[in-house]
Amino acid sequence: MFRTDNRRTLNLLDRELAPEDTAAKVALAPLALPAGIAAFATDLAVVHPIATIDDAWNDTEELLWHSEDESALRRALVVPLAAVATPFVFAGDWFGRWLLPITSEEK
Amino acid sequence: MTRSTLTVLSCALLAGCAFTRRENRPVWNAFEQKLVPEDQGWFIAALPLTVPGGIVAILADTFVAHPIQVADDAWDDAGWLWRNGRPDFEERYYSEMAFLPVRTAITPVAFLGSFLGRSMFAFDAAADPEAERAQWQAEARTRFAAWLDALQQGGGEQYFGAVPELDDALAQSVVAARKQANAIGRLQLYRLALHNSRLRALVDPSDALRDADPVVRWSMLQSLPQEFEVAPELQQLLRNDAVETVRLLARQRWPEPPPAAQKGK
Repeated sequence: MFRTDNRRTLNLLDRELAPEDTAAKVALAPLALPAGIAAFATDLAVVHPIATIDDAWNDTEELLWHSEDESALRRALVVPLAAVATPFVFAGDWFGRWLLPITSEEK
Repeated sequence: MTRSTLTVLSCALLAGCAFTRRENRPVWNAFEQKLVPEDQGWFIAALPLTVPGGIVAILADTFVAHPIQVADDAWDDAGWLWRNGRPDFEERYYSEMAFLPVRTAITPVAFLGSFLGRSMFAFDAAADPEAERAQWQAEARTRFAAWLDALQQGGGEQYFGAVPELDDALAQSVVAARKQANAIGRLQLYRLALHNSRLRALVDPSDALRDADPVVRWSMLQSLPQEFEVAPELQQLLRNDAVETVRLLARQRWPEPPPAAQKGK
């Protein structure tokens, strides 16, 4: 969450709802402060974890299920191991992407 | 030995680190200069008084004088959280609002940490924070100017440092670099401008999308964040770009409006 890119809700608020005028900013502060905190909490607990699911899955798929120039036999042997490892790799990657300052993959 | 005695002793020992600098022991210096006799006979005779006096001077330096000396530096360190565009309410109003309580809460912690650190350990007292900042800015300026010169001479290295305040001379160098740089150099300049508002005042990143070199256009299309606004005319231009990769990427980013919408217009 220390990366700006990972704070989607807050960025949206900054971009769309921030008043231009300084006086308006001061006047809005009592509302903007809790709104900002709520947006940050939403980013931290909901938006960012959900947004990183596909990246985590891509990483897992790339690592365990994507093979080039592999023989059919070798693939058949690796499939059960990949199946067992998938939830662990996915969970680890997901937590990592959720909690560490990693930029999301560009879509 | 009680726990409090141990604490006081360890503090005094740690504080000794700060005493490696003469300027960090004003009471001791004054005591030594004014009250310790120079004559050897008197020096020995006065030892029963000067030894306890010296200990008192050390304790006074440790717990009073030196902490008072460093309080303003510690305040300046904590002030870093509130300087140089922080918090940036202009660009990130809600984000800064969200972090405001944290920033406020961290400030006394930063002050206390710096105060204790500076009280106990020898910092470079001669280096005034203002002078340090000025030196840092001068170094950043030199690095940035050298990079701009390199661009003008055909270089294409990426710039990783901070972009300094752009005075007239630097602004002219930026403009010259943009005109004279080769395609790779221009791309580096556009990319830097994309993430730096100071530079963006002189270099419009969307100009990269009109660049003569298709690789510059393509790379910039790749790097542009989704929220970056590109004029509809330029979007259309890129959708019909002569180079297929640029054309495809532009069409992927800005799909053609449906025919009905086009008719409606």
